[in-house]
Amino acid sequence: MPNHPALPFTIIGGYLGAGKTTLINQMLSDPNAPRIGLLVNDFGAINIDATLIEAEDDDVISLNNGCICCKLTDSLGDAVDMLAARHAELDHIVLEASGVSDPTRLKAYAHGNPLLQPGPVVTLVDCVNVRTQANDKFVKHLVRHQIQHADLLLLTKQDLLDPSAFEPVSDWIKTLSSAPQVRATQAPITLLSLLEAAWHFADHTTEESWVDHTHVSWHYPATQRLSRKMICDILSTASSGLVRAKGWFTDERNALCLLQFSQGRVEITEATESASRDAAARSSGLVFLSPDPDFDFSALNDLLDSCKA
Amino acid sequence: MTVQNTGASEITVFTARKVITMDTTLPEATAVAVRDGLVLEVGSLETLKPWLDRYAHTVDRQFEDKILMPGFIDPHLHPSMAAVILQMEFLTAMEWRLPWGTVQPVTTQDAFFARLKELSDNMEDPNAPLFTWGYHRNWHGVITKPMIDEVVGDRPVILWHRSFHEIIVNSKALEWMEITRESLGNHPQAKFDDGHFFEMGLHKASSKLTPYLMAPERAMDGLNRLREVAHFGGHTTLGDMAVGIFDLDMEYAGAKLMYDNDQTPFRIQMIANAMGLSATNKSHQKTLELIDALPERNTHRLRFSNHVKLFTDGAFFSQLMQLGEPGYLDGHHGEWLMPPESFEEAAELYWKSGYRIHVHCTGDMGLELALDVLEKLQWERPRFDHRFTIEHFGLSTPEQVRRLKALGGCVSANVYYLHELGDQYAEAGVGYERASQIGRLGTCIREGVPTALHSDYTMAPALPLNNAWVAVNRVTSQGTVMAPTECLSVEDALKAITIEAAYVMGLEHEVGSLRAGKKADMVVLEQNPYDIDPMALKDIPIWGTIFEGAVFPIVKKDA
Repeated sequence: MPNHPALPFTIIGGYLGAGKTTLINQMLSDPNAPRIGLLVNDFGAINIDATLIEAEDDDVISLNNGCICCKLTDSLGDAVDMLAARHAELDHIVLEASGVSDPTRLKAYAHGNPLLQPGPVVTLVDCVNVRTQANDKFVKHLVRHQIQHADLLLLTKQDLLDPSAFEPVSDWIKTLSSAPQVRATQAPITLLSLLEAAWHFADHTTEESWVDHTHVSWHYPATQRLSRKMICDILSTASSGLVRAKGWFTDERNALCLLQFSQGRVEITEATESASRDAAARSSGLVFLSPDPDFDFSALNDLLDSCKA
Repeated sequence: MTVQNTGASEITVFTARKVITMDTTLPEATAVAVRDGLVLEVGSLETLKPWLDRYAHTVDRQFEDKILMPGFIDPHLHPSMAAVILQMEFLTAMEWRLPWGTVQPVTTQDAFFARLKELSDNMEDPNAPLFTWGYHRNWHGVITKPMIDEVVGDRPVILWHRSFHEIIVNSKALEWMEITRESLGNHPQAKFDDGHFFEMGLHKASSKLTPYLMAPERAMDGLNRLREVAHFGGHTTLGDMAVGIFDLDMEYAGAKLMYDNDQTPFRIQMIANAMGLSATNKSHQKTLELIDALPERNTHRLRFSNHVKLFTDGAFFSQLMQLGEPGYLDGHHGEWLMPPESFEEAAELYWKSGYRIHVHCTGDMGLELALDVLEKLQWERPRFDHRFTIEHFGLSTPEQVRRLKALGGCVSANVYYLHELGDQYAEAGVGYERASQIGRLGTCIREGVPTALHSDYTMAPALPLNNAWVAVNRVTSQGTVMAPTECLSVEDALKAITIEAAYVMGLEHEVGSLRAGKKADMVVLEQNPYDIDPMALKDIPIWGTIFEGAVFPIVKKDA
């Protein structure tokens, strides 16, 4: 039996209406999504295009993009174990915590399974309603607790907010938690970029310099071959605005490469044969993360487009 | 006058030292005439004459020195859960009177281990696993795997916690469950060396134990034991207050197989768990359609109706109830079992569909949510006689009781919380003032809120007289009397286990008191509850019951 690395396990939480289901729906319809084993609270709320479904029974739906969607019923632990046992088919496990659960308690499931690598808690925060919820007599403690115990905060529904109202909300959230705040500016945030960001910050939460910033992330599909050298050049010059980039692309010699950019250092490694197969199944694409909420990703997009080999 | 032959069944007249009818118009009598399972008339042999002169009858004088009351009603327990726990040996800090013997309280670690060894020594099969229920750290101290190994090392031992949320096992049990150190990894809530599995870690063991305990032969044995327990307590009607807690079809099938026959001296009112069912049925609307169709399954003893169960806050025994200010002593917070918005959405759907809603509420903030939603629903679509019932009713404020009255709600309380947890929650929960006011039932009666008592078995013993005793005396397990201003009179406590319990389930036209036309359901007592010291209420011997006219004596068993 091949020795697979432990599957990363990420928890997505947040109170009702924070956008968990929207995020999941986006992911499930994304043909380039990583192969995710997803544990959801409510099958009814998610929209799965029937053409994407490969197999389906009462509690499990398998999709043709490699995702497996599993309903949480009686025993969350059993469902986690079931997905962990299918680790060879998956890249990641994502648990959607119910709106009233304490996501930090759910982390225990990953600790209990050697096939899983415990990861961060991402709390989605509804920018429009969070301050009302945080003062609601019934859920104030719960909503605050979910923010206070997140490794990464994804601020949602910013588009429904008056632009001048965003900063005060973001600042107010900072009074509760120093966890990095991520928001999608241009494109809707992809799950891949979110997971990248979450794992990145979970590894670096002690680095003060990254705290107290609102981070934005962006996904570049990298569907064409790209020049290695040009990517290096772009990242070296753009690095003042970027804190991290990661992902797979195909280089000018048609070799699959892993790009890792962190703390100003660019690293490009050619994939081994087995990693190539994994990555091919996983889809290509690069994820970029910037602390600057106004970072010009469209310029980066143009630059990357010009790297086509 | 001559006896008419109408083809009707013969009348049986039960005479008694006293019949306590729980019917305010005719509170006392000495004879009850019964035909075809119904009460024909309550009165005396003298006043029954118009019936007796017309129809063939026999006078059954076996209860002439005893007291007859309407059969007791427990409007909230869970037979399928009880069936699991009843397979275990009770090893508890409280006294538990069971049909097969009384379990004496065990309140020290030494006594706990001595009893554990005795239980093991008494088992015939040397390899069979020994399950116990009732361990609690506050009483029995920290217990770990090596400590159990030393006392019972040769068979699997599984100690199930009082709250049901944790277990401690010995080495043999780990072997039996095929659990290795590796398989647990570094799980923070499943400790191999201690044999301790709790909260999220419990599933590591329960995924092996549940199939064993739920195996048909064991589950049926558990249901059979519950039948004995219910009979032993003097019940003739039970409420299964969350059918679908595990699996609706399985629970219904088990109940039908075990209880839907003439060996069962009670009926079960089945109230669907709308929260659990909505999780598997995708939406509240689809769940409503499923619940609408449940009465098609009704049999003589098993009946669904227009009642439904919802939940607000977490378990009282686990200190997960939601509290208003100033919260818990240690600053932790309770939990919601349903998001408040989901609760409101479901309550609105069932309210507007004409259902009578029962809401599990344990803390005052859970109650507050139920009241806020009820107030909103009354504003949007006013209803009379809706029987919106607060289930459990752990902590509350006097103002909330008044509000509940104004909105037309009812209470079905687990007042045993006060007895078992009052002292403990004063010390390490919510402080003395609020702990002493657990189960604010005196206020309910003063405000005129219909008030019933239940056991939520095994959250409390399924002994209605014991629950009535707590409500009347408010004595804790340590002997403290807490908030005597909230004590019930004997009469109100007896109503709470008969006519008011029937009322919250919508059965008051059929059961809960004795009068012409009601079911001939009775409990036969050796003493008159009104004639004894209220502190002796729980010790009144129960001779047996009468269910729809059929006599069911309680057979005395050796412990």
